Amino acid sequence: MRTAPILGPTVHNYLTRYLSRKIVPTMMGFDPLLQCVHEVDAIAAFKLAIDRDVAGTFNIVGDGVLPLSTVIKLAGRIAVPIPHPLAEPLGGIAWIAQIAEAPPTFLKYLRFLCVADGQKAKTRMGFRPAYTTREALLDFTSAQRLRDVRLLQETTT
Amino acid sequence: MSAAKKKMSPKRVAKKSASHDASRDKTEEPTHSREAVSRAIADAVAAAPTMRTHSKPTAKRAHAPAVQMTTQESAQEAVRDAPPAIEPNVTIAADEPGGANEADEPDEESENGGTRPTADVADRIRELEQRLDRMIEKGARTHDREPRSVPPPPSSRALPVDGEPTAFDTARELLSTDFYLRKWGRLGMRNRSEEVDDFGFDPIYEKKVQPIFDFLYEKYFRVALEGIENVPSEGRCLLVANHSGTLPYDGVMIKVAVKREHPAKRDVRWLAEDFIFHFPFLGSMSNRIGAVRACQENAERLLRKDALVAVFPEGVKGIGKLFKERYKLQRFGRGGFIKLCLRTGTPIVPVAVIGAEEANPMIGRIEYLSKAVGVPYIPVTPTFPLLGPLGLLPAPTKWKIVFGEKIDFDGYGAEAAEDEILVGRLAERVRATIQGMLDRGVGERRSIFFG
Repeated sequence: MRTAPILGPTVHNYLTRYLSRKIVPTMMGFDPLLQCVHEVDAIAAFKLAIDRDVAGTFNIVGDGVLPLSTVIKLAGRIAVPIPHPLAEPLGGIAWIAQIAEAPPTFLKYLRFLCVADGQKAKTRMGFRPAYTTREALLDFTSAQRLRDVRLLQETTT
Repeated sequence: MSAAKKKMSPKRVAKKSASHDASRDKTEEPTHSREAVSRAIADAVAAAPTMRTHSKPTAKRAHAPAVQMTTQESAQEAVRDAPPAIEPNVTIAADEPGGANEADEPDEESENGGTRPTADVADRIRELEQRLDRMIEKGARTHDREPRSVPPPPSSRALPVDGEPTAFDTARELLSTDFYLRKWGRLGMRNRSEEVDDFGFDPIYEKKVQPIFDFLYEKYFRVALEGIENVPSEGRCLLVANHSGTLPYDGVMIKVAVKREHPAKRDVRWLAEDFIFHFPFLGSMSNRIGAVRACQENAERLLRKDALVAVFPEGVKGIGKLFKERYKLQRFGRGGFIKLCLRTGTPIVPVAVIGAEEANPMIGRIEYLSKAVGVPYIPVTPTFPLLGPLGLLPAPTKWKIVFGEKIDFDGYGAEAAEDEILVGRLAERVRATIQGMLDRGVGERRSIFFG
């Protein structure tokens, strides 16, 4: 099972940490397409995989794609474009200094688009995502906004 | 349903029947005429689970104290006395035992003791179910109300939901950073679609940059068209074209030509080489106007969606050929586009682009530095390294795009894609067709700049 980045109100991963800051670094002149899957859908997919007992590799993705620029705008962040020759060393330094959320290899995802075809999971596994990429993002965003103004406290650390 | 897990061993059943009796008696006393009926109902309700437990092994029943056994027995007698015809007539009767059964079903499995009578449990379950229904309904309603293409929902959250916005609200709104962030976001989105397709095609952005390409098409290259009617108005189709020009404008020009001149105004998706997507701005821009990264899977997906796809089988070899090799088609890869057509049952329309070769005549290419820059070669044109980036501007040559007769591969079938010899032969045939169209077009041309 290969899931797209999982988004949702309670998820914590590199993508949510990336989008949780006010200022988001991007690659200048690159606008990759992002695909996400909602946490509920991801769990449903894992359960389906266990129940149906199907063999093979499946892409677990939500419907639709969003360009990174749109994602950042929907999340209400400010994109800071960094020229890509600079980004790699800067990302490395930030990673070593433990400022960055992800190692510099993650920068590849900010540069090149990576869109997976979820057709096989639909036909062979019967997986139907309830949330599109956009809805998953909006769901995450609404929770993140509450977190921003400290109306929503984390229950687990 | 966790409430339903409340236990009911024979002991509990007995207790419950008692409590049922009591409650029913109390509630339904006033109506004298219905007293018999209501009593029967109550008894039936009480009996339903009781009867079931009777079929259980006696070992279980042994747990129940003798006093309660008597209650059970009496309840059973009561139900035997009650006329069976009554039950369906009374709505409560039909409803109640069902509810009780439902609640009881899982109870038989679990053994840990509960504290509530089952009637209450059933009520609670029903209440919970209703609440859940209400929640789902509400959720569905709010979900429907929110259209797909709305800007971020926070805007509706920040504004006062009901009542007139007061000056205080407005002031708070204006003073929040969130407000400006949102405005900034909307500003950035003014030229972009809310939704893009799987390959990043963005209709609003395309419309915005359209004037640039219209200018190139109309004024700069003064493209002449021939045989545009050979492009089908619907259904999948593959446009196979020669690739030329140091900078590949031909994909865009074919797209603009079909969009402008074809009666169906179809959108052409063309497959572009990988290295374009390694450039900043160029890659994301061509993505938004409809270029797709060239690979078999992408092409197949597009064709299965009945798109109009343009491919350049020569690939980088085509745009990288020197000026002296102009209008000589290079080798057509390994015939991947033919395999694609055979697999998906797609007809081919051969396309010849004449005039692009002279736009940036390449007299040499430097290959040893190109890896660092991320391009397959660095072109040397009469103007390019000499005049800097300005030298990359194409010469205003007169272009002609010829669409040839449609070639169908219906007769071969999907399994023919495995036949390498056939694929090679068909690829050679398409190549010869395009070469012929090129030769004819170049022969008819009198001037490079005026056609």
